Amino acid sequence: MSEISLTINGKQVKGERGDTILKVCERSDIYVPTLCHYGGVHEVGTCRMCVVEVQGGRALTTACTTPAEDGMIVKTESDAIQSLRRATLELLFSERNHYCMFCEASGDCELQALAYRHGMDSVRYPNLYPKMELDTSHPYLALDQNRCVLCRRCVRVCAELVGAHSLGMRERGIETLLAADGGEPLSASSCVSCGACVQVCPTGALFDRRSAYRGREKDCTTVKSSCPECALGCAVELVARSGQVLRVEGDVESPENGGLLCRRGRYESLNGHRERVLQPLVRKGGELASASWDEALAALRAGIEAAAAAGGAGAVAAVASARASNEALAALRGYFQQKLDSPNVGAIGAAASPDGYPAATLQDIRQADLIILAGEDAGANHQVVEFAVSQAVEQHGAALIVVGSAARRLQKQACVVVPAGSDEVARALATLTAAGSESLKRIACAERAVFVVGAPVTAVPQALAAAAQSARDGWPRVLALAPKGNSRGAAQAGLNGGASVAKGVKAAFIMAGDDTEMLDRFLPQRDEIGFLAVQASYRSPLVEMADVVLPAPVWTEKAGTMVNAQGREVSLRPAVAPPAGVRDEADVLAALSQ
Amino acid sequence: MPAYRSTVLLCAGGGCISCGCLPVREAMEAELKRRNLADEVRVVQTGCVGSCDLGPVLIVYPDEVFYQKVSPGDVPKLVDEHFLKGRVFERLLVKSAETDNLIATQREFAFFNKQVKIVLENCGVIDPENIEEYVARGGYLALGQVISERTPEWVIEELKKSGLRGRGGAGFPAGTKWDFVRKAPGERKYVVCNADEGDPGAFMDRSVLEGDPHRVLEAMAIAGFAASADQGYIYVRAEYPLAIRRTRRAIQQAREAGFLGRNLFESSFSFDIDIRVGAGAFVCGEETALLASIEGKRGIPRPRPPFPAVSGLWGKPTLINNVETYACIVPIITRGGDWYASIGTEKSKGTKVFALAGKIRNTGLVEVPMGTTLREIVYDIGGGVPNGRKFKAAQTGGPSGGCIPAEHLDIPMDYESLAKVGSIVGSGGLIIMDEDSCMVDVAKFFMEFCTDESCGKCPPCRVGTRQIYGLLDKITKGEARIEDLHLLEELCGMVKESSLCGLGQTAPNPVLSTLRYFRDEYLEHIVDRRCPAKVCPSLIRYSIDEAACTGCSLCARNCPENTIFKVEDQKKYRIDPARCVKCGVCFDVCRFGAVVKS
Ligand SMILES: Cc1cc2nc3c(=O)[nH]c(=O)nc-3n(C[C@H](O)[C@H](O)[C@H](O)COP(=O)(O)O)c2cc1C
Ligand code: SF4
Ligand code: SF4
Ligand code: SF4
Ligand code: SF4
Ligand code: SF4
Repeated sequence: MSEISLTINGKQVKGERGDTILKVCERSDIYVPTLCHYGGVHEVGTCRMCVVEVQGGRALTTACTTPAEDGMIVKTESDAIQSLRRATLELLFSERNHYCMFCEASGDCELQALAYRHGMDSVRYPNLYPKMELDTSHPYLALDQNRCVLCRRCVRVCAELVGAHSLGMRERGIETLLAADGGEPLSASSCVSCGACVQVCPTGALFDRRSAYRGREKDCTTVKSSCPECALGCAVELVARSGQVLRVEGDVESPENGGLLCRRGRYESLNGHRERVLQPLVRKGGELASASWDEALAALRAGIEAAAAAGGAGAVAAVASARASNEALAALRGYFQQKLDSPNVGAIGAAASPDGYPAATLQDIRQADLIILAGEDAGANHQVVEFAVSQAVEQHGAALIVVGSAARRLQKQACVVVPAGSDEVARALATLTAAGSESLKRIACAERAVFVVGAPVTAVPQALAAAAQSARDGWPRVLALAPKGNSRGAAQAGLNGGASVAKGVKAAFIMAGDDTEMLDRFLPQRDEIGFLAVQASYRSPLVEMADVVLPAPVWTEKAGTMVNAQGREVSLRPAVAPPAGVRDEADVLAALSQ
Repeated sequence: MPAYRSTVLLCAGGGCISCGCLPVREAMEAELKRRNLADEVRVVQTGCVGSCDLGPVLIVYPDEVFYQKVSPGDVPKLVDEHFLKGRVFERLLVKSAETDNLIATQREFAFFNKQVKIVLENCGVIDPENIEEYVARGGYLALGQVISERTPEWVIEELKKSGLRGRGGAGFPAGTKWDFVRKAPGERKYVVCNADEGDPGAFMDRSVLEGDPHRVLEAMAIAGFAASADQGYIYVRAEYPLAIRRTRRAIQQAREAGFLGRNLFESSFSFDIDIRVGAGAFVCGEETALLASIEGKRGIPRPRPPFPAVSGLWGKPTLINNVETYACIVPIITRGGDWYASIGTEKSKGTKVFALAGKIRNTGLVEVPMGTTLREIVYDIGGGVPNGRKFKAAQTGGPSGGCIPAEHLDIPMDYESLAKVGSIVGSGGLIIMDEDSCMVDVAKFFMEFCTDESCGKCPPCRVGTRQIYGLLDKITKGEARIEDLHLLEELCGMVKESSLCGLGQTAPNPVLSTLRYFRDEYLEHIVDRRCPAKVCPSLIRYSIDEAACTGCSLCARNCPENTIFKVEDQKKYRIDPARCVKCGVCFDVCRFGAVVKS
């Protein structure tokens, strides 16, 4: 890339060929007001806030859409420019309902901030105020057209970054209106509830229902953490106030998910209506009853020691979900493996990465020119991967090959689809990429081939190896998805993933018992296991069948680390303190070991 | 072909079809057969002749006798007189505006004889549905020559020499644009013809496609050769079904004749054309919106750069020109750029077609050399303002243009001169207004058009045009204060400077130019609460002059609000001003001039 230099406001500044004027200004910390501009999606130049003067140009031009050229002389501020910007704001304020005192966004609104900054203190035009609808059909987000400035950020993000294409504009002129699927209520539309549009909306038009009217950003604390809901560990920011998490936002600074999250990470983990376990419970006379921590720990110790005394260390089992943090898993091993010497310590969902391939980052996926997705329903399980794949295909023209029956949306974007059930995926991949095949040639020709594979493929290393062999040096990069948030960490800790409760186990301890897979596993075995202790955050059928229940914090309340599918360590950080009767999982087990 | 004694050219342009030229054709053919003249007299259905207010129109060759307002019932008498008795049938001739004398031939008719036809040379002369007629007049010769004997550089050089500027509005030099596209890097390139013609007063593009479609096809193929594109698109609005039909047929015929398709004239050059039909939004005529629409997206403008010449259809370099621009290409190639440049003024070369409308005796399409004065167009060609009214102003360039007041009647109609007085050539709409037009109302009319046609993408246009309209409305209602006038001027300037595309950038022009020349009229509305042209309903009063009233009661019977009552014991009527809704029915129906507007 070659360097160019421009004169902006009389100052020499540098930029790169291909930069817009706005980009050069950003690089040199020159403020240019914008409203429709949003990094990462294409520029549309609609809001007219970034008008600047280019010497020798015919008229004012928008900095966001005008390519910077070597030697250009630009003025970003002048009385004339300033008054045009103020006039644009004045028109926007006259268009719809911008009585800020009743608005959710007031204080955090970019339009409002621009108005203050430009001294737009009155509107000289009558308020047009068309009657506009409020769409509250969606469980998590709401759209108030009365505050929309038609900047189309949401439209572009939904199409270009998420790949959902759910939003668009309808009607024309002053009647122009944001619409989901041409006019459906959001809840009935193709929206995948990722919430990206809400996060980028500069005004109070699209807002989060849960956190609406519960505080401006300056009244809240924001903590960077990671989503534990799947093996991607997307970077999040937890926004909290008065001991409550108001919402989860994608961390725009993350080079990986770059602010995107999926429905599960952004909404579902916060919006459960399950009953918390707020105190330790101990079964007394057949009923679970509240107990003190001392009582509960004593009961736990007694149950386990009794089983060990009767059947030896092999009669004790400890099982965690691989969504538990490294620290919690270490404490689990500390007590059960090291102290009690139990051979039955495992983590459901522990999975090691396949050997021999560099891990593909989401960045790699977005920039790939060939993506092979095999044995993984990215749409259902790791949706942010689906977004990245869509982006590569739709925005950058990558070729996509899908092997497997899942990933419905991506099938539509693929150039080759080989349907296969999960037990046939590895074979189907092998056939597709057999020696001399078209696909193998494709892989050989690709400059940046990326494989995104699920468990059915990682289980058959030869299939992957055969497909990967033709790729150029250093490629393919492989993103092997894993079932749980900390599958890799659990495997690295030496915990195996298959740990069903062995024969002869008389006492079992379950960590991270909110995982439904735990339930499925223990329900049928309950009667064989004499003593069952569960660490969980919520009441559940598993909790109901336990003898001792230890309340655990939820992810927004705890610290710890996990290793994501790419082998990268990600951190959990607490945004709020857990309720008074709840104790950290690792601390509890560490205490037991003492 | 049998030799015919005479040819009857029957105008089948949109205007004539709608006033019933097809039954005239049937009657004519039947009558000729009945009189055994079918072998001697041929009837040809042509494209628009231009004199649309006179339709149905017939021109009989070789004498060029021009018959107007012909009805099927006139036909037997006309055939009898003209073809059997050999006399001109006077009842259907045009009368001269100045002398009241009858005008027998097209040549004598000022409407025609002051015109110079290049773009429209074949319109009204050939049958547009028959490629042979086009070929017989030298059609596709230029394409053949260019492909076999010339280089793209030569074509562009001739075009540059001709000085031809785009006729779609902006007046960008065509040769330069073709050169840009030729030099733009890219394997695939496209040629697009803009036949959206959204300016409500203009219809020259439609007339060319209806009357001489092959001329556009041939020009596009030449453009393809010059720019090394192999595919062209013509974007026509759906409201032009006849143009679409005839252009489709022309494309089919040209393909069959080998003028479109693969390896034209046995060269390696291939070129084909498809039609894209647009939904007819004004903004779809803007080039980037048009290209988006061809791509199947919403027809909404985007910022330039990149210009279509660099990144157009599907991101490929694209040459986009207007129909009339293409219609000039073949003559330039055949007769040379220097010949074309000899017509017109120093900076505005060639001819321009204007669509003459409004308060003028002869309306229709007129093609004149650039630089012809407005006065010549209005008085010599247009026959002046009818009903003894006075010329007040001419609006050029439609909703993006401006008005030219009487004091500038001698202005040469060319790009530079019009720009100097604050107007534009634009697409060539030319609306004449007389004293009965209120200039504030005119500005409001155009602003309403722009408000409705704004695509809604950028705030200055979306909200600004609406607020401008609101301010004008206030003025016409007599509710405005002088500060509103200042706000109006400020807002017009802002919308012009800040809007994203040409629609918003030019939308304030009608307001700004009427303000420039008719500021007093605005002030009268605001300060005196009076509409001098007596147009704005809120500012006029109807009353009955009792001296003139005969008591016939016609007004009272027609008033929709029943506000006209009989004065007791007298045979006179009176209007209750409090209940009058200013509909003006009484004024229109009174036969004694007793209803007074003030
Ligand atoms: C709002 C708007 C409407 C336009 N409508 C038309 C049109 O109907 N026909 C046309 O040829 N050009 C129209 N133009 C101009 C085109 O954008 C473009 O400049 C033109 O087609 C280029 O062809 P030319 O160089 O031959 O004039 C319009 C421009 C604007 C801003
Ligand atoms: S969207 Fe912004 S400007 Fe509009 S009312 Fe809300 S806070 Fe105010
Ligand atoms: S939530 Fe996501 S999918 Fe739904 S409309 Fe917003 S960006 Fe699109
Ligand atoms: S909803 Fe928000 S992001 Fe979307 S167009 Fe309106 S203001 Fe912009
Ligand atoms: S993709 Fe996975 S890590 Fe990312 S937000 Fe969704 S559930 Fe969380
Ligand atoms: S100026 Fe008007 S028509 Fe053009 S982009 Fe803006 S809103 Fe659309």
